[in-house]
Amino acid sequence: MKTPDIKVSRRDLLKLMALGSVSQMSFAAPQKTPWPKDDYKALVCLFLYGGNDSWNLLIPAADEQGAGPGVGFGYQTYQQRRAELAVAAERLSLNLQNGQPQWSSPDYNAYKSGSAAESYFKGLYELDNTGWGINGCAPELALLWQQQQLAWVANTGTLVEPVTRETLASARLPYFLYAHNHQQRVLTTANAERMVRYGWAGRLADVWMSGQGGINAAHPFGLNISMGNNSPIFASHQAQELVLPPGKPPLVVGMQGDNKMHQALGDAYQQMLAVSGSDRFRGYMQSQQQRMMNITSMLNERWPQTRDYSKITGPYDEKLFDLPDNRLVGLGENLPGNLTAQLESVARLIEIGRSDGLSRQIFFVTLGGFDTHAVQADKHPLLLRHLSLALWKFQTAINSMGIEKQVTLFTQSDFGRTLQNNGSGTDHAWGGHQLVMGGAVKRGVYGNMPDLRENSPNMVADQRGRVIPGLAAEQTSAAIASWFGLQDTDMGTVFPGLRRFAKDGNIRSAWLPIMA
Amino acid sequence: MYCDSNRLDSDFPTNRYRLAGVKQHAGRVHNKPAVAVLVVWLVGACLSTPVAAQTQQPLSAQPQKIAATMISTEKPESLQEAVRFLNQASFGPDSQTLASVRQQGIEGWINQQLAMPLGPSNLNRTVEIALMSEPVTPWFGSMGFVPPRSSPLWVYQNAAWWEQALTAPDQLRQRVAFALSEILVVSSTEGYLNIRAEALAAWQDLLLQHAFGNYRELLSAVSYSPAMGVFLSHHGNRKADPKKQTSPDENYARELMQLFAIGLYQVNPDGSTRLDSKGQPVPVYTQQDVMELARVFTGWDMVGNLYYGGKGLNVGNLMTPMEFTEKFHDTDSKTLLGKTIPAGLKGKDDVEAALDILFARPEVAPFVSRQLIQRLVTSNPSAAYVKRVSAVFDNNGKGIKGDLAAVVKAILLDPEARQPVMNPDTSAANPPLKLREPILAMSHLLRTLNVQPAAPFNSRQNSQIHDVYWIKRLPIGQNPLNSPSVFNFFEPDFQPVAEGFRDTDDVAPEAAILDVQSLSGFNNRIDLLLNSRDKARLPFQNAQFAEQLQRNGFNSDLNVQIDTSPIAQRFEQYLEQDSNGDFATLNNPAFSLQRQEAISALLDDLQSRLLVVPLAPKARQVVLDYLNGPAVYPKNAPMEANRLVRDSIRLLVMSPEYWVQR
Repeated sequence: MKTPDIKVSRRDLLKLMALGSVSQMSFAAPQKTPWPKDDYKALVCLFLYGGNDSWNLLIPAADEQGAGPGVGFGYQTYQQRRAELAVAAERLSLNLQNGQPQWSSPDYNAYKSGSAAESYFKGLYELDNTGWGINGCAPELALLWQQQQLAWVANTGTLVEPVTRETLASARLPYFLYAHNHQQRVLTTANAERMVRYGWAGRLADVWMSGQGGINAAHPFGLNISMGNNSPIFASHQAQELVLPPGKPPLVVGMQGDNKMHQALGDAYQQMLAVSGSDRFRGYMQSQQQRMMNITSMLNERWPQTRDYSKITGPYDEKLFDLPDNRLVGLGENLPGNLTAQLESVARLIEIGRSDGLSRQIFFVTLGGFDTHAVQADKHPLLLRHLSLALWKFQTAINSMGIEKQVTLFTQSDFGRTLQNNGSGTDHAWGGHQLVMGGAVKRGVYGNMPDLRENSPNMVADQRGRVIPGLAAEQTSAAIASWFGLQDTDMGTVFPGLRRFAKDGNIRSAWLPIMA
Repeated sequence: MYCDSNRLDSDFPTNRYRLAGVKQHAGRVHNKPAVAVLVVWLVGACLSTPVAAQTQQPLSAQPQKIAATMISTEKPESLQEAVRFLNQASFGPDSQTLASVRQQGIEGWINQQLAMPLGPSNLNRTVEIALMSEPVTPWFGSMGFVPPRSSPLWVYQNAAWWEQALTAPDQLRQRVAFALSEILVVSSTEGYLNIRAEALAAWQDLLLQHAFGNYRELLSAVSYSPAMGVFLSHHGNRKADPKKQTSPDENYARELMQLFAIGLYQVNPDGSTRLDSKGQPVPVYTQQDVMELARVFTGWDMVGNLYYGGKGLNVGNLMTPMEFTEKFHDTDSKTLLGKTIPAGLKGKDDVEAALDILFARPEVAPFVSRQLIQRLVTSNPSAAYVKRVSAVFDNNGKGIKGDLAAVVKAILLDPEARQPVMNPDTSAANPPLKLREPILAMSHLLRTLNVQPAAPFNSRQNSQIHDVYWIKRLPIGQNPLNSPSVFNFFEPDFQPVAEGFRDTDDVAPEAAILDVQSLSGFNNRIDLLLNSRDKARLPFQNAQFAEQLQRNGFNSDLNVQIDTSPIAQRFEQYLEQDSNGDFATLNNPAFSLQRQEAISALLDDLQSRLLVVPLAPKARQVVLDYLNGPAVYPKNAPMEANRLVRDSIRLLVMSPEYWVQR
C-alpha cells in the first residue's frame, strides 16, 4: 500500500501567528499507520466549558485527624479553605437494593428537594475507602462508581513538565495559565508549551489517514463529530470534523422531503453547489452547504430507524433521554444546557456508525456555564445535577446496546477553580479532577490527594488556593487513546509532551493504568 | 443613455424600469438573450458605452468579468461598489441607503453618517414594545421592569434590536455598535440579563452612544455598566475579607485586559507579536496584575440594590451606571503593569487611574483596530493596513488617541478596503475577504426584500402588537447580544480545516459558526419568509392563512413582512414590458423565449442586489436551467411568477457566493 505523502509545514503544526520561535523546532510529518478495523470503539470527550469547580464535585472526605491522611489532605483542610462554599461532611446513601437504585427512596432523595444551594451543600457519597466523596447533587455518578463504570483522575490539568511550588519559577509552564480560551486550547491540542493549530483527535485522525483515503473517509460521518459547535480538538490537516446540532437535524425545508417540487429545487441547489466557485472562502461555504444537504438527508432517513429508548426510565420516571424539568427536579430552575440531547445524539450516531461498519468514532460534546465567579451555590449544583443525570442516561443507553466495553467517555475542563472564594463564587485556577466512564474503565481514583494548605508544595504562591496539577491531562488522554488503538509509536505525534512524564524512557509509563 | 447612475434614483425600480426599456429595444430580436444579462450588470459599472455595442456579445461573455474590470472608483459610486461597501458599513443595502451612497459617494456618505446625531434609544423602544405586549399591569417603573412578566424581557429587547438594525437611518453607527458588541461582549446567556433585559437595551444604547466616540471613554462606560457588571460579575465585588477567607473577584479584571483593551502579548504597531530574545512572545500582564486590578473593581453595584451584590428580580437599576459603596472597596495602593495607583483613591478615581494605565499601553491601538477591521472589512488584513488604522487610533490627527469615528473612517476608506472587487479567481495580495455572519446575512436579505413590521397580532394578554419587527432568537447560529461566552461567537484567530487555509496563517473567524446547524436553520427561515411572510403572496393565500398567522404571530420567532412585489414588477417588465400583475405571457408556450430572457434578467437583477460578484457562469447556468424548467403553476401565471422569484432568491441566498463578503 502506497502511503500518501502529505505536506505538513512547521507552521501548520505549530500554529499561532506570532509564535516565531516555532520554526526552530523540527517536526516530522505524522507517520501513517493503518487504522484498527477488527472491532468497534467510540471515544467521547465531554468538555465542561468555563472551568468546572471540581473541588466541589470530587471532595476530600477523609478525617485528617488521628489515623487519617494527615493535616492538609483531608476534609478539615478542605472545609477551612472553601469556607462558605464547603460541602458538608454528611454521608449520603445510595440505598441500593440488589445493586439497583431505589429512585423513590427518601434517603436517595437528598438532591430532589429544597433549593439548589441546599442540595449542593447537603453532603457527599463516599467512594468506598479512597478518601474521596462525590457531591450529593450527583448520585448517578456515585451509582456508576458502584457499578464499576467510573474512574476519577484527581488533581490533573495542563502541564508542560512536572512542577511544584519550588520549581514554579524555573519550570516551563503552560502558556497563559488561567485564560479560558488558551487553557481550552492547551487541552484540546494536547500541547501546553506552544500554541499549535491541530487538535489531538485531529492529529490522531491524520495518523489514520493512510490508504483508501483514510479512516471513515468514505462515510459522511468521517471520524470526528462535534455536537453543537466546532472544537479545536478536531482541527486536523486532512480530516474535516462534522459539526451537528444535538437532536435529529431538521430537514432543509423546501429542498428536501417527499414533495416533488421541493426535491426539484433541492436537486438544482446541489447541482449549483457542485459547480460553484473555487476560491477558498467560497469553497469553504460550498463544502459546508453540501454537507448540510447530504447529512440532513441521511440522518432524517436513518435517525427514526435507531433504537426506541422510551421504555427505559430515569430517576424521575422520565423517558431515558428526556431532561426532566424543574417541576420534577425541584431545584428552583431548569437544568441548564443540552448535554442530554447531545448524548442522545451520540448514542444514535454510534448505532448508525456501527451498523455502517465503521470501526472507530470520536465525539466531542460540551456542557457550558461552569465559569462560576458569582452565585456559585445557586448555579453549580444545577450543572452538576445535569452532568450526573446525563452521564447516567448515556451509560444506560450504551449498556442497553451491550457495547459498554467499547465506548469510553472522559471529561476535560478549562481549569480547576480557586479553593478560596470571592464572596460569591470562585476564580480561575489550575488543577482539578476529571472522570472517565465506561465498561472498559478500571474503577479507582488515580492521582494523589494534594495538600490543600495555603503554603503547601501543591499550591501556587498566592492566597487564593490555585492547586498545581499532579498529573498532566495527556496522562489520561493517552491511556484512552492507547485503548482506542493508537500505537505506541504514534503517541509522540498525538501527544508531543507525553514523554516528559515517562519513566526510564518507557512511553507506556507516562499514562495512567486506567483502562482494562 | 442607458446607464445614468448620476441620477438621484431614490428607488431601484425606476432605474430598472429604464433598463426594461433597453430590454424592450433589444428584446425584439429575440435571439440575443445576453443583452438583458449584460445590461443589468453593467448599469452598476456606470458604462457610457452605447448598448448597441454590447448587444454583439455572445451569451458566454461573462458579465462579472466586465463588471470587475470596468468598476469605477470615481464618485458617484457604481451599484456594485455601493452594494459591496454597504456590506461592510451597514446591515445591508436597502434601496434608499444604496441610492444615498451612490449619490454622495462613499466618503460623503461616511461623513454624513458620522455627523448624524444619536438616534432613538433602544431602551425606550424595548419599553414601548413590552408595554404594548403586556399592558395589564404597569410593570415598568423607575428601577426597570418588575414581575409579573408574561415573557422574559429579552423578547422585547431582541425585537427592538432588530428593528433598529433593519430600519435605523444611522446604519454606520448601528453596524459599528454591532462590531463593538463582538469585542466588548455582554450576553443574554447570563440568565439574569435574559430576564431583566432592560440591561441589554441600556447596553446597546451605550454601544450606540460611544460608537463614534472615544474608546477610552467607552472603556469607562463599560466598566460602570450594570450589564457588564452582571455579565463579568464585578457588580457586588468586595475587598478581601480575611475572616471569611475571601478575595476580590478576578473575572472582569482579567477579561478587561485580555479581551477589551490590551490582549495577551506585546505587539508591534502592525499587530504582529513582539518576540523576546529567545523568540518567545512577551505577555503584557501577569496573574499578579489580574489580582491587583481585581482590587480596583471593588465597591461597585447596581443603583438601588437592597443587598450589595444581590441579584433580585425587582431591585437594582440596570439602566444607569453602577454606584460606588466605599466600605466594600479596597483602598490600598495597587501596582498595575509596573505603574502604581496610590492608596486612598475611591470610586471612579481608582477605576479611571487603572483605565489610564491600560489605555496608555501601545497594544490597545493594534488590538482594537485589527478586530474592528476583521468585523467590518476583511478576515486577513495586511500588516500595513492594521498599522495605518492603528496610527489613526493612536492619533486622529489632532493628537487624540481612541477616536473611533476617525478609526472607522480610516478602516472603510483604506485602499485595501476600497481596492477593486476581485473576481473569485483573481489573486491579489490582500483582497478584502471575509465570511458573513448569520445576523448580517439575515439583515441583508431582509433589507433587500423591503422588510416591514409584522401585520398586527395579539399578545398573550390579548393586546394588539402592531408596527413591531417581531424577531426572537433565530436558529441561525447567532443572535444579537447572545454570544455563548465573553469570547464572542467566534475567536478572531479561528482557522477552518479547509482547502486554501491549510499551510497558511490565514483565518476565517465566521467559519466557526457556519455549519450544518446554522445553514439549515437559515434556509428554513428563508423558506418561512418567502412562503408565509411575503405581502406579495397575500393574493394567493386564503383567509384561514391570515387567521393562522394572526394566531401564531406571538409565538413565531420571525414575524415580519417582506414584500417581493417590486421584484415581481421588474420581472414582469422584463417579460412583457408592463407591471399589471397578469404575467399574461409567462405560461404561454408561444412566448417561451421571452420567458427565458426575462428569467435571465430577473436572476441578474437579484444578483446585483444580493451578491457582489455574480455566480460562477456554470452555477448561473444551472440555476437558469432549473428556472426554465416546466412551470409548476401552469394555470396560474402570477403564482408561477412568484415561485420563480422565490426560488431565485433562495438559490442566490443559499449560494456560497452570498456568504462571502468581498
